[in-house]
Amino acid sequence: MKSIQEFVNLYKGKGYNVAVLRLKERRKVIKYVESKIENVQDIEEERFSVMLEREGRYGISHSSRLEFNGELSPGKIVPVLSQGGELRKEKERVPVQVVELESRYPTYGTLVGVQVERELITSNGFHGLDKDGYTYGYFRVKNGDYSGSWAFSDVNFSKKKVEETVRMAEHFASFQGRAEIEDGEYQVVLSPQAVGNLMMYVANMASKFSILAGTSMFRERGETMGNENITLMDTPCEDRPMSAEFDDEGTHTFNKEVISKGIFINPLSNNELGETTGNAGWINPRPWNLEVKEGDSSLESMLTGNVVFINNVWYTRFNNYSEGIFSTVSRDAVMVYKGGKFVGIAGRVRIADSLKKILSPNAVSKERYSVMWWDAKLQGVYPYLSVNVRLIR
Amino acid sequence: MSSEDIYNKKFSSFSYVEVRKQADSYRLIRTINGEVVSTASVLDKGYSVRFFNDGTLYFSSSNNPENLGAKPDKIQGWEKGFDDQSPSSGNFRAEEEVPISSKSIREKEEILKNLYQEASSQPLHSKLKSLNLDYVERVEEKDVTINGISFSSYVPRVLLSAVIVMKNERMTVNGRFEYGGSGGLEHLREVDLKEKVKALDDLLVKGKSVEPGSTNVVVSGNISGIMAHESVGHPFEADRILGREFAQAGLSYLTFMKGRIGSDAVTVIDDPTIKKSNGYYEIDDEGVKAKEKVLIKEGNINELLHDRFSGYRMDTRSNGSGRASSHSREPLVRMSNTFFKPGKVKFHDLIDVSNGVFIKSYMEWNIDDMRLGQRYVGLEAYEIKHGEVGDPLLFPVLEGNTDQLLKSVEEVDDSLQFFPGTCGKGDPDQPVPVWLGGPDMLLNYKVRRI
Repeated sequence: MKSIQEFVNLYKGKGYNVAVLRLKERRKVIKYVESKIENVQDIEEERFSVMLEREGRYGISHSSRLEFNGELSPGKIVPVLSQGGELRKEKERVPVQVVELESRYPTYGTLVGVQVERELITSNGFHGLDKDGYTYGYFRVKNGDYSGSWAFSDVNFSKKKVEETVRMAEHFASFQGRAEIEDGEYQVVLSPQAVGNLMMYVANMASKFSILAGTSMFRERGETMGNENITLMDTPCEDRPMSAEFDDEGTHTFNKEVISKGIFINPLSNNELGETTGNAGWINPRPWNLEVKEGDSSLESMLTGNVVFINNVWYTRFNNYSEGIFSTVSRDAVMVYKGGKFVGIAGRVRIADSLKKILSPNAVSKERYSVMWWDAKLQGVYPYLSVNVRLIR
Repeated sequence: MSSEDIYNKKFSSFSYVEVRKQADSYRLIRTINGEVVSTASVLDKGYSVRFFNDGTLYFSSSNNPENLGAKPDKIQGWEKGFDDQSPSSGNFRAEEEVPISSKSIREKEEILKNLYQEASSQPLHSKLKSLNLDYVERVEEKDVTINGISFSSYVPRVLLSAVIVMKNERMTVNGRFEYGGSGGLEHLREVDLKEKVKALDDLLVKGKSVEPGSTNVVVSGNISGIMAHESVGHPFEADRILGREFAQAGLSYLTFMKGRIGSDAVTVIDDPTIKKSNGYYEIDDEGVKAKEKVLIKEGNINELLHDRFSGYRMDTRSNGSGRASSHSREPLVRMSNTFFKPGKVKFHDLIDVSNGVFIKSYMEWNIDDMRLGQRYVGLEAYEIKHGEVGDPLLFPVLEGNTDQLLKSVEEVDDSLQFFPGTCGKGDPDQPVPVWLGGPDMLLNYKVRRI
């Protein structure tokens, strides 16, 4: 079997621009049902992605073998490789372990550990190797008709982190009693889990490919999309899950503000769609991991007045990508506060509004959490956000 | 190495073992406004084993069969046992009327370009900002051994997804439409993008606000299909009722609802054996023979979707609903082709009312994690006036609980339309191809403005 370098040299000798991205991943998934282990999964995968380009015709192929099994087509957009260089990062992380959960309520969830090797060799002389790992967990507890959830993500596994996450989920599930709310505009405090779900959509829309395809609410750099309380960053250089040293075209990654105090300042780009931001994706740039800058509010202060706190959301769908018009459904504790006092749980509600309203918070917490969960697969560090949005039953 | 060889070599000592060798090969072409922006091919090939030990399921997958295996931990797991019905053997394949290989990639690119040309060159009053097409052809090959008994399958599929963005001085609209199923390129005959673009143009130009309140709501097979999938298919997955998916896609209203949940006109079926369907299979990934399941029969809860593990736990048998999306994913209780059963009346009988709303397609939709509270926002929607379909309406919203919606169904017509979908479930997530379908249905219900 040829080495990747030999494969690249072979095609380079035939006049091709070529890039080979090798991704090897070992994933351990421990699934919990009613506080017991239902399932343990060990998933090992190695994939070679090959991009070949010559005279404006290109193709991409993905296979478990080092081969090119695609065809070259003339494309409107053609991947452009960065100049050579060498980057090597090898991090030893504490791997995930099977742990038995202790909780006062039946607990459900998954604990996931991932070890990743990502290697890129290009015909422009770039060679990058990135070996890293991370752990994340998401737990949902059931207290009769009430429930609560919480999530964490970290580069190292720790049993303490799992226990703290379960305690937080228990905390939200412990609130009881019913409160009714009518359809209308509310001051809503979103938990970091809910923020994680919504920011995943915002960041994907910030890709220049989404803008080109018309499936983004963003149009151009410099437009106002929120208020000065919101700054959203792409943070591949932080010591966090899913960080990366180089992108798929061999560009060094760097941290950047995507939205700075409400202004869209950095569309995520690769070489072929404009000035690169180190976010390639051949053809389609993507975010690595995210951060919303902290504010100066405490969660306690955000819950004063008439407020609805939402523990989590899922199933976010858009009626209009171009305008950011969406709805999303709450899950777990929807806590109603009147005059700063908890009055009950409202049951399931839907936020039906514009993402621009989510990007215009009236308060942002100082406290932040590193989360990743089943419907927020892009890792991020998020605060609580207080926003004014329309809730419907 | 075959799945049977792997079973015999390493895993025959466990009481229940699945070994699967699976290869999924894809070709993808993406166009924006008639220009190719990306072509890719994917070969996703590997092996997996899943076995049962002391109440826990262990799953292991790899590209290399030598690396399969998991060391059972000393834990008492949640599972109780498994339905030990004998696995089926044999093989099945989906036939291609127009073979995928009968056209080159260049010719397929030309088809996509022509679809754009045809849709964009018609007279329009608004601007077609973008029409993006994703074409995917996929061949799924499986070699599976369950407790020493083997079967194999070969299922090709074609899927075309279109996203349309249109604009005039009033507003922007987005539409998403999908076409496809198992088989070959014959599914591309169903593509009607020219009509879809025209319909969105009409909506932009003539669309008027919907009058909120109770009315006669006629929904097409597109809407009845998504309702069948979201509000019946998912909550009838037995593993959800048992809580196995509580942390992911949630629970089911069937944890507390019993008996009648719909009107007499409501019968909902899941059937993997439909030829040409997107969710086609004859034997599930646990080796159980596939069959039609009647989930709701004339308004009454009738049957759940089961795999071997949920079947055992609920003191019944698997009905062949265990599906895995790739070699690296475990089988889960899944839907296949889920639809409302058609009735006898005609469409013109359904709209034979003094006034109402006809919702033909949707854009935004979602449902809560008990599968009760749902929302469908109409895209192609029209007023009904004196028994005729009239002017387009702007985004009527159908919202409510599953039992309210199903009990409000007054009549269903004799048509049956299917639409392809990709159903998500599990952790790690595993998307599986399905069809969603149904007849046109008349509901006595309420609509609201977006």
